[in-house]
Amino acid sequence: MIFEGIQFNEEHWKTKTEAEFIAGEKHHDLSEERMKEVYSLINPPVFSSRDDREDKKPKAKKVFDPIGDTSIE
Amino acid sequence: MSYSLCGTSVDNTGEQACDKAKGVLSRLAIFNGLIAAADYVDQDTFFAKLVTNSKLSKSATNKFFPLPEIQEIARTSEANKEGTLNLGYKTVLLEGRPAYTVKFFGGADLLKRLKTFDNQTIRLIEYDANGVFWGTKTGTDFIGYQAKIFFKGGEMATGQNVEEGLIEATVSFLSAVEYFKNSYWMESTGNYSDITPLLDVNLTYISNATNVFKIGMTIPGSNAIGPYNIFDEHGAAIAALTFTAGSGTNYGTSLPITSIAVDNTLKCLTVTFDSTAYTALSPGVKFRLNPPTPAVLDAADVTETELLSVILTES
Repeated sequence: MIFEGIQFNEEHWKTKTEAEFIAGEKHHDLSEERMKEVYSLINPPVFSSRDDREDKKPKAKKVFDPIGDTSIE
Repeated sequence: MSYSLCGTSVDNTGEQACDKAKGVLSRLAIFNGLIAAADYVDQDTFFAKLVTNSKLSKSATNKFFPLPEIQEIARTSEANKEGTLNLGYKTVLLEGRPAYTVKFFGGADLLKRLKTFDNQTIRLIEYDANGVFWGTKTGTDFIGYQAKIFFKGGEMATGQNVEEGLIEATVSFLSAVEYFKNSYWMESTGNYSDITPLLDVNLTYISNATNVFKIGMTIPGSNAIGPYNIFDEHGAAIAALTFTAGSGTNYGTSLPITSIAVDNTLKCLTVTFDSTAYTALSPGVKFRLNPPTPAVLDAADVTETELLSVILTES
């Protein structure tokens, strides 16, 4: 995968932790935030089930309904 | 003479219309490999094979090395050896071996490269001005004629003739039988310029900080200032391709490369090896960095280029 002109060996970094990736590629002078972004592109989050995905979704905020005078989600 | 055994050893003497004959020599190519029957089943397949073979690594068996277009040719074939009897009979005893000298344009760097072939026993494919390739066969495989070649050039021009930048190649074929009696041809409508000569580009060690290496890419040549760095033309494209590395016997133990990037300051590649694997190497051990093949480079628009591997040392 090429990110900002750097070709990262995806197959290699797929088997490593984020900390190992950051330690191994820190000499490219990418910020830690960018390094984490690259790592997440190489290793996208894996959801085990729909429920898992639902759990990770942000909850809807309660809003005031002036007509019904009730709260909905 | 009504009783004859000739019928078992000679051919009929008719001739088909448009029987091929060798035209003016236009190109020579050094080709020590072979083209299997399936690859010369028709003109297009044959020509495509030559194009493919020209883009092989120089160490490949079927590598096709095209030489520049010929500007002058002089026949220097050995004369037939003749014998006589003292009552006036004269006959040919031995057929002279074919030979010629050709001239083409090329500079000091090309001359150096060509002279690596001096006096080597090689095989040559001829291409004439009629667009016909000439060679011979072994079994069903199409091959070049066996020959020795010598390149001459690099002298000061005299200003009296066209001499500047001319390279002369002396070609001597080893077998008259192969050249005269066992010649085979293949027509072609392909563009000969698609058959590409490659340039050696050395990968070179510049520096390293543990497992992070700076690797240059330069064409060796005669410029006293130094070799030609191809970084500005192709650095980014090459950095996007896959390299491998290995250590141990025949460099067969993989040493993972974790990333490759361009270094715009040093005009080179930054190659990072896996720190764990690198640290596990014995101090001073050698390992080899293998670049992508010329065909892969060509597909990435890094044309006419063969990157050569470099041996690195753990330090």
